[in-house]
Amino acid sequence: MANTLMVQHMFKLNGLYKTPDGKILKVVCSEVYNLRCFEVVNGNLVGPMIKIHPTSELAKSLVEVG
Amino acid sequence: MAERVTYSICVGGPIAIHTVDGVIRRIRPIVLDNNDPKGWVIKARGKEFTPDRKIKPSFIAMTEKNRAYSYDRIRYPMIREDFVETPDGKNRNTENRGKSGYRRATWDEALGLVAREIKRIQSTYGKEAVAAMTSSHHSWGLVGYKLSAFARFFRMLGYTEVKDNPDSWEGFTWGAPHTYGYYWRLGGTEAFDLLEDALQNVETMIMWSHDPDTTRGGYAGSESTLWRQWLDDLGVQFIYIDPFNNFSAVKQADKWLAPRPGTDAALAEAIAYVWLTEGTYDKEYIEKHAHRFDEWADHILGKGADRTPKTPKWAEAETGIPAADIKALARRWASTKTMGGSGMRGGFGGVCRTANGTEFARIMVQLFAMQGMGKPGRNIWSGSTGAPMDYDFWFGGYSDGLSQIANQPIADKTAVNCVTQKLYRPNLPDAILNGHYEWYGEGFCGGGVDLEFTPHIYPEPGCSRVHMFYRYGGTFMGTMLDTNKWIKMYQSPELEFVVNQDIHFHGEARMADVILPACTNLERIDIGELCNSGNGGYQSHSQTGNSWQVVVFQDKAIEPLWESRSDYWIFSQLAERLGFGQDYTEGRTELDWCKRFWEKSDLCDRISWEEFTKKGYYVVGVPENWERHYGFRWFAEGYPCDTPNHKPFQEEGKLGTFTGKFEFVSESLLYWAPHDEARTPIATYKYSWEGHHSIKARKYPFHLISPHPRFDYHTQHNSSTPWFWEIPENRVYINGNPYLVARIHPKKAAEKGIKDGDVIELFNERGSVLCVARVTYRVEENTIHAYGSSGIYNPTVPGEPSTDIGGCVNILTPGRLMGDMVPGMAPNSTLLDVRKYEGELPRGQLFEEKLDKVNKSVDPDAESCIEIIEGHGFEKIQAKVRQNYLKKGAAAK
Repeated sequence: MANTLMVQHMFKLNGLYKTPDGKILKVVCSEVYNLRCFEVVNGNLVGPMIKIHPTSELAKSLVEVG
Repeated sequence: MAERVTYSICVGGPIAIHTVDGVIRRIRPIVLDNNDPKGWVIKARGKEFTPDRKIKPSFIAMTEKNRAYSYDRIRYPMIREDFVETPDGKNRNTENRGKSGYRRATWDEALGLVAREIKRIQSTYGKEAVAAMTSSHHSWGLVGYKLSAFARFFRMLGYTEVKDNPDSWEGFTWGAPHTYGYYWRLGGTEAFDLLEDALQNVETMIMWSHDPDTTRGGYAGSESTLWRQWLDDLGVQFIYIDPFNNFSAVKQADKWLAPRPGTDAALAEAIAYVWLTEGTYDKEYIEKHAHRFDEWADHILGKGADRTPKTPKWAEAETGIPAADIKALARRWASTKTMGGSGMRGGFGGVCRTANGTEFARIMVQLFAMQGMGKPGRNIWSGSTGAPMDYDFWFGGYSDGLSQIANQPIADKTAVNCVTQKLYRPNLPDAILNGHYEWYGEGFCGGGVDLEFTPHIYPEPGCSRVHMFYRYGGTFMGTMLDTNKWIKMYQSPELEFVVNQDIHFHGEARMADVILPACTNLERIDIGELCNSGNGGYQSHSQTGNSWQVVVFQDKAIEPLWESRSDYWIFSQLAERLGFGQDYTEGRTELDWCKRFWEKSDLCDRISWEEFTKKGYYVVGVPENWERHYGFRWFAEGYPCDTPNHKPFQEEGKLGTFTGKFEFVSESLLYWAPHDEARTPIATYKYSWEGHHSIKARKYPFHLISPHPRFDYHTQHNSSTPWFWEIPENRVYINGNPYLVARIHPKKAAEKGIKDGDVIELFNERGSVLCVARVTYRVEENTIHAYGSSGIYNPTVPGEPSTDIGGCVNILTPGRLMGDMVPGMAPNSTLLDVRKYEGELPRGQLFEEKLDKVNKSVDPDAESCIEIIEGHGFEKIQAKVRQNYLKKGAAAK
């Protein structure tokens, strides 16, 4: 059995999450230790793909908003 | 005179292209250098296995040079000679589509006409009056691919989408999810890390309706051939089950079993019978993981409604395989660690493209469940996927919504189709000709098993019928069924205007009013990853079919030949004329779009844009101690799913069925289709509606099987690559026409007075096709084997449903869908007869003069099709291109 924390238990695919600094991220990929987001600005996905390690502080701080 | 090397990917895999003076000199595989990462190492049974340091395309990819300079390239925009641009769309001589010749047009003229017709038709009837459809995979690359450039244009325009059916694996899509879920993989299983599992554990491989050396793991080229050789070297026994002793079987089968086509489900039931009566299945596993197993077992044992025990003897009568062989197969399977599958990725074999295909797929899954699916060495795995891979690297594949220029984040704005009306590909001609059509299902249905049951009606209430058809790339004459119907559709005045955008002058291009010449992907810029069909789309992580994970910058090797242009350029120009050019391009060139794919993925973290475009490719590599996620192990051992491409219920250790278990009585079918006779809640062997029990079999006693082709990819290569016609197992070139080889058993050939090499006529009530006979014991006695998906369609009377000499056997296959509620097609449920053909053979392919006439109207010295195929036309083309290249270079200096 894989021993890495599996992010799919924590985040919903296509879900929106707020970061501590107020950014809204959309989860576009949620697989085995592979959480990927894009920032949402005015309803649009902008910027580079954001990779979040499932055990990182950022991952723990994300709050679901929709 | 400096040689330039660029890289690209075609459907046969990645290639390096050497060009000199603007002309392709040669094509070769990509050989890795010392800067590329080390290959993975699998330790198994005292040995170490690691891939060679080159990426192995299939042999079809090595002929891209021949295909680029092909005799049947569409060189110029063309308009049908007797097309009349009437203001109301009437009286346009539509009955002459396929018959009439063409005249050369300028791009301005052709694009102007297409734009005017789009405007006229949409303003007269509504947006939905324009329908557009792509082919199956006519080229590779995320910018030019059908879900990108094409989709962006038509979604912005608004159109009636023609939904694809899963034509390569119908039975698995419409059947298997009702037994074990995996609808999000379209019925295919997960094969993560199963190559290592197999190398370490497996003792027997069941290759059921599976020819991996031919189907090549989909888009993975020949990457997996070596793996199967390793298994062979380890002493693993290979059992091939196929009416045709296929090319992989010839090489490595320890045993070949040849069932009568369409009876595989009977064979599967008899295997279960042996296990049930001898107690040789995994009872503990079934106890824990199966739903309503006992009711199913009653059916197998003859205690069900039909009171027929599914004994090996019973199966012998159906399949033609001796009962003793069936017992031996069942015992070997149960007593050794056995993996196997039907077709590439476990479920793509021709057997699931029969009338009974859903039932076979379901029973096959049930058989593997009975032997503890997911335990070491016991799984659905067919030897062409499941290599180690860096799951921590993300780059998009073509079916991934994140990786299409139609959508954000690649585009600034997502293109959304404002039309909800749809059509369904297999029965498109019926819908157009009858003006009304009803069907079930959302095409691929990856979003949920419920989508299989959504009813559709054409025209949608309040919507117009379709009056314009825009066909993009490839030809369905050789991949859809009963395709003489397509001719009738094209000639219907219902279709006031028909456009075809393609590279080669294939069967459907010849039915268009306007033809727009696209270039190959060697003539344009693009980006793509080998065998990545979508890291979020269907068949996620299909790159595990490769030994090497590689993203390629598909640089332009040569300039677009003649007046052909990239698909993106064509759509951009049309969008401009329709008033949304800027929205379509967002100001980006193809190179700009390529860079977007780089910057919106992990690729930008691994390699700079400059380095990537300079080197031409990036090999991802696999960490030395990669984390294993064996397919289905989580379910067998009862922990939350740890494989990629999971679903929420898998996190609870459940399958994607109603009960979360292997359903031997399907609750989803009981809920949605309890009375469906084609797909019953208990999967059972059923007589085919066109099979050896049919009354029709008295008149047409042979079964035709037309599997995925060895010398083609869909319709791409054979047709435009005469080099292939020199292979005697493929085609026999007679009188200027490449006749397809059809295989027949010696006993039946003798009865029919047919000798090896004779021209024979395959025929039934739907049409007839001339082929060359290959008399061989490699084919089951009642079977005719002829590869499907022929891109060559050469009717003896062009524009009429007449005898074909191009080997387009799909004009013989039934248009009937698998069932009233099962919208899959069943080409391998075809009955026909065969006779020696003794008539006169026509000269040539019967379409070349149309191309020759246009080409010579531009350049009187243009080489004719026949000169290119038989003479020195190929060299002449290259010499002219070289001359122009050097002239331009001199002018630039």
